[in-house]
Amino acid sequence: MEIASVVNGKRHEMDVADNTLLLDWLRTDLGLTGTKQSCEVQVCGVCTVLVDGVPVSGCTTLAVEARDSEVTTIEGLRGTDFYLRAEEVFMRHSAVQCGFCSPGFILTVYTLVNAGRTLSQDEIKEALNGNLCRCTGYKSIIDAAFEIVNAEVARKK
Amino acid sequence: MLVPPFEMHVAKSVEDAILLRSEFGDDASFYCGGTELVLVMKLGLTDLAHLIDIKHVDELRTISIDDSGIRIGAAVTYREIENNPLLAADRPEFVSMISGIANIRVRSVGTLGGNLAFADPSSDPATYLLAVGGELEIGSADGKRRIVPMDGFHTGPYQPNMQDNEMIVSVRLPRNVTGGVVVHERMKLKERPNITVAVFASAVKGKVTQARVAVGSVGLVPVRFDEVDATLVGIEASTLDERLLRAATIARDSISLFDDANGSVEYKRHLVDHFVQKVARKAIEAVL
Repeated sequence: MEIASVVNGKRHEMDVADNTLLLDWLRTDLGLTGTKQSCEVQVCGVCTVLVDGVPVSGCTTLAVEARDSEVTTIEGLRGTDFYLRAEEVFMRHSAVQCGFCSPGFILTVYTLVNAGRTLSQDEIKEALNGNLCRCTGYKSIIDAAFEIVNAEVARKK
Repeated sequence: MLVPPFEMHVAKSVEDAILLRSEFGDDASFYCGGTELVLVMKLGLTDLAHLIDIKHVDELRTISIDDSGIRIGAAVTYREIENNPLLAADRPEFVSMISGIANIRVRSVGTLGGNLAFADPSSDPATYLLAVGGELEIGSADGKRRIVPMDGFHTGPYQPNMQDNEMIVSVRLPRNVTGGVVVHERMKLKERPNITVAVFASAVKGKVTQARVAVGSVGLVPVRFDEVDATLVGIEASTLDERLLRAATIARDSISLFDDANGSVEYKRHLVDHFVQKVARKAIEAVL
């Protein structure tokens, strides 16, 4: 299918095979390797990308779903004020070790910020239950996400 | 992991989608959020040459609420349900149940109609709809629509009770009734619940007049039992403990269970006993 899609602000027009996965299109065709590949069954969250601001698993989303849409990967956030502040909070909480899960966590946190509602620790845990980490552990990540979401939502008000 | 090649067709209407499905036969499937379908295609569990995309059909994407009830189009996503203020006001427990399904990414694109058509044994929505007396609107090749109850719609795991060239058009929920409540709870250790239980109860003057208990995710399909519900009808504060115990025992002994990765039959019997008592107690105490 011929698709036109804006990825991280850049317009792409391409012929994409209907069975191409969004994850493979982003990583292989566009070279955006910040989006990771792991469980392949939409459980772990490392392939999280945003399609029109909504978080999806790149591993079970077809690339043709990006047509006439805006896609945001972690590369699209890099250098933004949100990204720089989130990065500082993640580092201060030691919420990053190997970093493989971090793009997925940051993008999920970004969607929570955009929802514009302050969240409790429990609500943060619920919202992040689809992102897995295998090294730093969840407490530091949840603490960092809690701080970012509530600070960013307060900032917008 | 690759998805085997197929051709995508974008349907413009329900009739158009059903026509395409009739034309391609078993080589085709309706496609919407893809959270289940793309997964089973990747895993090589199904072989399809054609996908019929139904998510751009307006009729399937609307939510409406009036005196006769709530109608949710089959292609409405969980996320759209979570963000709908009318549903939140009328059926907060329904919205809360939806917001605990799978994970945030599955809820972005996964749909209520897709969940019910896939007929996964661990379906929270199917269990909820059994308890509230939900219905489905089914469209067929001859252009006719029929309304069927959720009760009996799942005849086995991954077996919805409809023909290949039929599709779920909408899901119908009754409005919340005065004096009635629905309580839903699940226990979830992984992506899918270990058990999911929904109970509807209503009472008049301190006595339970109606009750429906639905239990899912432990057996082959979500189930309810007339005898369990009958045991709860007539409960007053003084008989609550004894009758809840009896209803839970009937549910535990009636349900068909099997050992699997989620636990032994003995463990599942314990879950059914515990959760039926717990959830039914919450519902009944709220209306007594």
